[in-house]
Amino acid sequence: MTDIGLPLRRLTWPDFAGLGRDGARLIAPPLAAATLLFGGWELASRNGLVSARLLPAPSKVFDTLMRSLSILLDQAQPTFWGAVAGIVLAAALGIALGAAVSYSRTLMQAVYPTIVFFQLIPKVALAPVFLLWFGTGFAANVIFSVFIAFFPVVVATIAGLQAAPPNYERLCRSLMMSRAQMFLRVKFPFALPHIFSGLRIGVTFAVIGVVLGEFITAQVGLGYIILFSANNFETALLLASILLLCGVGIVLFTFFLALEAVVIRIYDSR
Amino acid sequence: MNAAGADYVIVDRLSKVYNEGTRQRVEAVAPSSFTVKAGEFVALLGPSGCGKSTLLMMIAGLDAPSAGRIEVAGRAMTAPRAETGIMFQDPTLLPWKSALDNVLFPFLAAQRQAANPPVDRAAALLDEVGLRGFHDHKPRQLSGGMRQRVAICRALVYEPDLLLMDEPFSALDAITRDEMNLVLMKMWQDHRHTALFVTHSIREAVYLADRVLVMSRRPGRIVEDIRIPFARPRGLEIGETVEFNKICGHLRGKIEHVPH
Repeated sequence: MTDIGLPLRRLTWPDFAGLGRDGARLIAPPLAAATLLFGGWELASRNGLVSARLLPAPSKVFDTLMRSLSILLDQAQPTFWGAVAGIVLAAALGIALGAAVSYSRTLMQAVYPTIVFFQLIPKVALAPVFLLWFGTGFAANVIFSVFIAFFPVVVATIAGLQAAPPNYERLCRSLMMSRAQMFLRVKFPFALPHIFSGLRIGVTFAVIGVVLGEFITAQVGLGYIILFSANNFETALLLASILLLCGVGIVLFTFFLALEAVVIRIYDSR
Repeated sequence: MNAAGADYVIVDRLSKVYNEGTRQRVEAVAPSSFTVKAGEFVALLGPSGCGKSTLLMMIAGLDAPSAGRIEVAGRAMTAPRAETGIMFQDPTLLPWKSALDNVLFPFLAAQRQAANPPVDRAAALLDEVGLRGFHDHKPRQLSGGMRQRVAICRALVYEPDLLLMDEPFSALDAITRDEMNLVLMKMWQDHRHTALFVTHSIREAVYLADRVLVMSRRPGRIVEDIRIPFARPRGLEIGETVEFNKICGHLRGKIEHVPH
């Protein structure tokens, strides 16, 4: 840090005062916007501006959430673990396929168009086909989740494995490194930031996949509760389920962000 | 290290043509022949895009020639050899490894994998190039010149007999470049390997080399081969002498007036 002659306070750890000040600046605007939105919604709902049946007040939704929490948490479990299984399998398969395709130019030219083609299919349209193939149940939901979450990971892996500048490959070849070593020591670490951005998209897709599966198979899970409460005009329950579903998404997303932070700290390719 | 006087690198009617047999056919290197003696420092000088880097990559075994042959240390080159050190225009350091670990990177290759990588030698090399106290720094914490110093150490750590350099200092500013030339001179004098240095800087070529080969514009071919008479060790001040500037003028003329 260069001294520019300003009476700057030396940043010490922990600087809670500074943290609080910066934190306030960071949190205040979105907090104000959210308060405005939910406050307006609450008022509109209470004054009968919108039908409480169609759009119950946030307080009512929260109340329902609290009252049905044990049931909802019960139903959230298959959804959560389905999404976890979905993204983990999608990550493993996606990275493996991305690496395999990147291994040979011929394989890339052969397979990449197919991957892109499959990515262009609106995957929701395939859900009934999956129902036909894999039946109903947890496994079927996971398979559908993997199918959706897998593409962003493959595409990101393929892009990432091209991220190392060409001279690195020349360097490794001049050092007579094997292709496997080059992959492990250079190409894969350089690909990590790309792979993680693929995983971030993949996580949200994995949740969508499981919920879609639950919509269609309609047996358990938050997706099923959402469908059920919509059919019964239980809008408050429906919104409460969606709130919990957001929670599932946030937990998963945060986990991958944390994992990314740890890995990128080690393999920092800036 | 090398028997002085013998031809160590023999380049015989070497050429490179891209996209042969198509309308995009490009002749990058016209048939070129030259030799480098053991322990000699030869600069390959030419304008941008003249094919001098392609020529160097073929000598490194990283690019296949279209015709002609290369012999290094009495053996025909068809693939990279373990005893060649290489430097690129960019330092190509691994950003997540420390300077010291980057220097030791060559020992991760299978045939050099040892139970104990030569940490002491790597550390000594870093000290030699003036990076004492920076062994644990990551590349992003180092300046451009410092990164190329690490790259020099990485190229020398396995004691190559031939050092190939592809415009290693062309991305650096003029002052840093002078510094790097001094560092490179010192390392070459202390470690004595045969060196082939590609550059588009006339002054850099004359300052560093025992011999300068001039390549013409594409398709590149060798149009001049002169010996640089200055005694070693050379200080940067030789750049001010009349003789130095006369040689530079002569080389500039060769580059500008090459017959097409």
